[in-house]
Amino acid sequence: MARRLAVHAVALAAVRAAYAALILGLIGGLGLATVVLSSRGDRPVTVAAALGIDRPAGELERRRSEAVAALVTDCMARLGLRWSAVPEPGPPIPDPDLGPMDWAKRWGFGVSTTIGSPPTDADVDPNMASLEAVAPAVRDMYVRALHGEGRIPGCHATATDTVFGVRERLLASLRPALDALDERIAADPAAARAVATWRACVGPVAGGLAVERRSLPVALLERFAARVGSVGSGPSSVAGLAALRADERRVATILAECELAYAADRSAAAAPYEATFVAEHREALKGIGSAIRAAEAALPTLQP
Amino acid sequence: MDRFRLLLASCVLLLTMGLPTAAFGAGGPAPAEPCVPGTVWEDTASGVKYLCVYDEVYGGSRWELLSRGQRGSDGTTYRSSSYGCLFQTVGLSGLSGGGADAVSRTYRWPCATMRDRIVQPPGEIRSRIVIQRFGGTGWRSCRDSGYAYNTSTSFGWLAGIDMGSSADCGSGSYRVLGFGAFYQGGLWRGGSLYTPSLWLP
Repeated sequence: MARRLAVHAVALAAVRAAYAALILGLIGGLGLATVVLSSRGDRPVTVAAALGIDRPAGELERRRSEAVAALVTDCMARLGLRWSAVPEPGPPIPDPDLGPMDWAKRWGFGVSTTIGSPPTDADVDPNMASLEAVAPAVRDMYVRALHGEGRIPGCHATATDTVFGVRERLLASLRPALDALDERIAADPAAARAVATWRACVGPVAGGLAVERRSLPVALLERFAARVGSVGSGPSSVAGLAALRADERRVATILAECELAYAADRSAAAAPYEATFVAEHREALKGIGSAIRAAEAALPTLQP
Repeated sequence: MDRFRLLLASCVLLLTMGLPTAAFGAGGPAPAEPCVPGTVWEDTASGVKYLCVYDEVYGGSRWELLSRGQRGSDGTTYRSSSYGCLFQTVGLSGLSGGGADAVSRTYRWPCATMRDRIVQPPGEIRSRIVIQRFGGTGWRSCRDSGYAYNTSTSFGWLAGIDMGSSADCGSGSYRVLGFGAFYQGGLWRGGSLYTPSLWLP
C-alpha cells in the first residue's frame, strides 16, 4: 500500500539529527545563544534592533518550508508511512522586494493591476497525486496521519507548529511590556498630531469616505474592487481597465506617501519612550532575539 | 500537546453544513443573526468583525471575533468554470499590532452565492497568513502561520496570527500576505491577496 507513494531520497537519520538540534535550540536558546548587540557605544534604541530577528523574507521562507517537509516526512516514517519531502510553496506576490512606495507606484493596491496575471505555478503536489492512486481506506489512513483526527493533531500540524511556532512561543513573554509601551506612546500629544497630519494628507483621495486609519484603506480597496467589477469584458474595457489601473496606482501612491510621513512622525514621537523601554528590557530583548535566531538556525534541512 | 489543544480551541475550525446556531460573545458587539459556519459579520459602526466557525471544543457553531479594525482585502483569487472558485479574505489590524487572518472558501461554478459553496475533504483546503515588516532595504518575515489544512470536511479554512496589541517585531511598516488553495482536478488551485503596508506601533 504505502510503497505506491513516491519517496525522495531523504536521509532520515540526518533529518532526525537536525530535528534534535532544533529542539536543543528551542530549549537552550535563551542561555546558549550568542550575543550580537553588546557594544556599549552601539546599543540599539529600538525594539526591532534590540531583537535583531530581521531576516530576508525569502531566505527564512525557504528554510521553514524545508524544515516542515523534513519533519512531516520523519513523522510519517515513524508511523510506518512513506511520504515525499516536498517543500510547500512560499507566498506569491509580484515584486516581493519592492518597498511600500515603489510597490504602490507599480501595483497600486494589487486589485485591478493583477488582473490577467498568470496563475502561480506551485500547483503540482506529488504526494497528493500518489494519494489519488491508492485505495480509499489507505488514503484515509494517510489523511488521518497527516491532518489528525478530532483533537489529535497530525504530522503536518505538529511540524508546522514546531517550525512556525518558534516566534510565537518566544515572543509571548514580551507582549505585555510592548502593549504598555504602546499605551504610553499613544498618550503623547505628538502621536495625536501625527494622526491629524495623516488625515490631512489622505483627505484628497478619500473621496467622501471616512478619514480614519482603521477604515480608509480597506474602503478604498473595496471601492477599486467594485470598479473592477463594472469595467466589463468588451473591447472598450481595455481602455477602461487602463484608466482604472492608473487611478488605483495614483491613490495607492498617495496613501503610501501619507503612511510614510505618518511613520516618520509617529516614530519621532515614540523614540524617547522606545529608547527608555529598550534600556530597561535590554537583556530580555537580547535573550529572546538570540533564542529565536538559534532556533531558526537549527531548523532541519533537506539533503540535496 | 496542551498547545495543540489550545490551538484547536482558539484556531478556527470551519465546517461545512449549516449547523445549530449559537452566538458566542468574544468581546465587543456580538452578531445577533444566525451563525452559519463560514459567514463573516461586520459591525459597520465599529469595524468589529466576527467569523462563524464550527468549534469542536465548544460543541457547535459560534461567532469568532476577528482582529479588530482590520485593514484588508477580499476577492476571488481563483476562478474556473471547471474546478470552481476560491474566495479569500485577508486582514491586518489597523490600530494596533493585533494580528491578521486569512480565510479561504471554496465554491462551485458559477460561484455566485452562498448556495454555491462546495465542501472539500480533509487536507484539501489550505490557508496561510504571513506578516512582513519592511526593514529599510527589504521585507522581512516577522510572523508566519505556515499552512493550515482543513482537518475535517469543510468549505473554508482560516489561518490566523495573534500578536497582542503591539507588533511582535517592533514598530514599523507591515504588510500581510494571505494565500490559500484547494485541491481539485489533480492540482492545487489558489491565489493570494495582500494588504497595503501599514505602520504598526
